[in-house]
Amino acid sequence: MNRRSPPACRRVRAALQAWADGQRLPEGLQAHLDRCSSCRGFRDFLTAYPRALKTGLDARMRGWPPADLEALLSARPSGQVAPGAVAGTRRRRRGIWALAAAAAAALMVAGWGAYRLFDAQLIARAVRAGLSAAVDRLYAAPLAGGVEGALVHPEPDEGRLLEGMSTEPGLEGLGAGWFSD
Amino acid sequence: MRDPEIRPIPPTEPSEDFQLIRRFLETGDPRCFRSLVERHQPSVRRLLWVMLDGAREEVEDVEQEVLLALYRGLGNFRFQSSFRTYLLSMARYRALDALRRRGRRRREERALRLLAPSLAAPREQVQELESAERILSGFRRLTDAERQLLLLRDVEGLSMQELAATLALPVGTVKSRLHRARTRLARILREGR
Repeated sequence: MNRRSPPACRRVRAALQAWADGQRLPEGLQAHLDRCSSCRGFRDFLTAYPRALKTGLDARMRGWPPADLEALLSARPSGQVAPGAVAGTRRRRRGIWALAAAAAAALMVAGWGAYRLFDAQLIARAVRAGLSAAVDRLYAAPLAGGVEGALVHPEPDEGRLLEGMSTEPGLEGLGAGWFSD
Repeated sequence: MRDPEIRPIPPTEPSEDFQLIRRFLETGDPRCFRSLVERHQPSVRRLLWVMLDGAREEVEDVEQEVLLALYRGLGNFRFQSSFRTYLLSMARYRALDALRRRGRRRREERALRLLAPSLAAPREQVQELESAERILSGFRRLTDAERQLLLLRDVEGLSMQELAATLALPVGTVKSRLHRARTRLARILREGR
């Protein structure tokens, strides 16, 4: 309400506000409205603006599609709805693309870092050395305690090795021929 | 003197809402939920549009959030308030969350959307739209709280008690702020002529 309005106008406008809130208009108000264009304008504003505002808002949203209820309704009843299934197709698509882009970026960064940290030839050399060591160990295990060890290194303790092998379960007598020669 | 054709815009019948909710909860019939949403979606969308300054993508996202929350939580509805109040309160809180997420700066940038030109309309509606545009541009100059009050009371037709419950304010406070907001809008429109 305008502070500079005459007291009569203030009372009338308060009554008009109450009328807009659902109360009845007091008797005798019409006489004031007939002679006061300002209060009449306020009454007209109160009468017309809600519909005009609604029209303006609806015009702004004209052509917007209705809410996407399909995903929501195809899910199970309340409390059992998977959030991903109902968050809207557009938003879901956006999320998937964002995730894919983030994963690709992470892979590129990790690959570049690995390349910088380990030279390719260094890696190949390390693999070869590792493989050789593994093969050596594989052969060394039976050699250390058996027949083939004696063949490779016949000089020291061959008799002990062969004797030792000859007592192993399942290999008894294996070194007998060699030793007798 | 009062013109029932003009105001208030009649709200939907609460008992019909209750019937639809009960039927949906008992049978899980998706048509009930769809009907319920269709009855109130325009109101929800208007509120979100006003609160989010017309940012379409954001309005649609928050609307989906509201519908999801409604779908999940409808079993908790106690039938003690109107469904309309319940749903608009839910929408309002979701919109406030979105505003908090968005941050003040982006919000101010988007406020200009309220003044963007509207879509083309049939010729017979042009005059009505011109008037609507004028009111909308004045409406945009109000504060957020004033806009919510005017929309919920004078466009959506919530009662004073419903409005007080939705905004978590005493009825007397709601009434005085509402009257002030109407007076301010009237003054803005008068000065803008």
